[in-house]
Amino acid sequence: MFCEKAMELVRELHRAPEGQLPAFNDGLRQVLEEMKALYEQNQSDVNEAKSGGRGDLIPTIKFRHCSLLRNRRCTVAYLYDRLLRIRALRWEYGSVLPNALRFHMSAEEMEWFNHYKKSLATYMRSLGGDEGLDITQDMKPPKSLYIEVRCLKDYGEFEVDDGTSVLLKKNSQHFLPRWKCEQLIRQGILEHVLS
Amino acid sequence: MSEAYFRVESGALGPEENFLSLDDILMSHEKLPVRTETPIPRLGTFFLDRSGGAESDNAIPEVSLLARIPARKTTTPSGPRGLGAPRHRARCPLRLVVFQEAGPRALPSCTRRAQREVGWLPVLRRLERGDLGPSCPGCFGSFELNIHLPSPGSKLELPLWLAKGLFDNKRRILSVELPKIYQEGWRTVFSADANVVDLHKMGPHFYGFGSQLLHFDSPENADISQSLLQTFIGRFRRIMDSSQNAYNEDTSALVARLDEMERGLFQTGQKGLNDFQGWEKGQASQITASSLVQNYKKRKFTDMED
Repeated sequence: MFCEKAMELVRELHRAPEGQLPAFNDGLRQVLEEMKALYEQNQSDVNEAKSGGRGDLIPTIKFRHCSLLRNRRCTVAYLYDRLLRIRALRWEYGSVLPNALRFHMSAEEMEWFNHYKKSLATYMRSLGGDEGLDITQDMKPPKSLYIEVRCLKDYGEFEVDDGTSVLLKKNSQHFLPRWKCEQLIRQGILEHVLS
Repeated sequence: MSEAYFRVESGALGPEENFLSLDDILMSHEKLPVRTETPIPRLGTFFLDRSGGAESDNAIPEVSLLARIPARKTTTPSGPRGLGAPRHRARCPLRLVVFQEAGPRALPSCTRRAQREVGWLPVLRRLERGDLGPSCPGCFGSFELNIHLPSPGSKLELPLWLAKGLFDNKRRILSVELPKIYQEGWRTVFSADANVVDLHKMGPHFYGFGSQLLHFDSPENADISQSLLQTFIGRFRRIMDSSQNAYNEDTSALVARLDEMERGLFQTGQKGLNDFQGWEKGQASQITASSLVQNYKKRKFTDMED
């Protein structure tokens, strides 16, 4: 049955929960080979149909053509959905991805991620006058400049704007500026404490 | 649900599927019954594992040999005893598919047995693809296999994408039959009470698939579309109520009998409920950890534990 491998790719992606990125499936290569074989068979059949007058081959040609289109659709959807997930990583994780995730991406996807980061950075710099505006911050409307945070994991030294550094040890609580902590809270290292 | 990941939505309920939607790709992979109107040559191995069921008119398509296998010789590279050598016969896959130029009834009994037992399908497939050379060093002679469905009118089950691609108004290649669940009998069941039906079992993409079926210009189209609409209207109330009132509990019993579209609706309802409850608790101004990051961390721990 044609297009089985392509369907496998799509199913794998569909099964990954909550927008996570599974490892890049090398089965894509097999799909491309199948497409090449189908195309070559169709080429020879088309020639035969035209020159040899074998009009009865037309359904077969149509059949293979449908399979080619289907394979193409599955691969494009697979790659596109992966890009959507990688884009989400920039917004959730920040610019620096953990190594485990980087191994899940192919070289081209890594390149795309870098381009996307650069585009986003250029855009952010163009907003808000001279200094630019970090739009990945303040996902929820801020109520105050400084917030109370509790540390969930050992992180180490953390430097605040005016030079003082804070030691982030498990269960220690601090009163820190919002914009410095937001990234760490989203990564699960700190916890925003509401009083 | 990760906040920053926005997947391509399904377009199946509209006039056309969305090309990039994974949901639509999965939906269009479901099968529907068709009848072939013309023979489709050179794809025999594809059809062989589709039409072998009880419903088909022709269990085994005719296989014809286009070149002759010469008579048995006594010397062969593989051993002194020749073609009939039992060891070679057992091992050579080609030996199993030697037919004569005749119908299936004339198949020698050994091959009929082989059909049932071994699985000559993969061999035929390789021959058709040209993987296995047309000659085998142990068998003499070369042959070309020409496999095709002998007569139109075979009943098959093809995926929706294939049926859509091969279908045209004049029904030259295929004609499509409606699956049972969209026919008169089930339509009456739905009109009686739509809530009791397990739509997940009846093809998990009931609405999407049904909407795309309308492309095949069946005379029953008006009734099918009415039935889809009325079924949804009948079930919608329960979905809405359950999704808006099941907070922080196990919802598997509630979604078990819903089809994929309804499940999406249920999840949207749950998300709305959770967001509202979060707002009531004052979490709207609290920066929370990203759910995506948390899921990755969870997975990492399980990976490390393995």
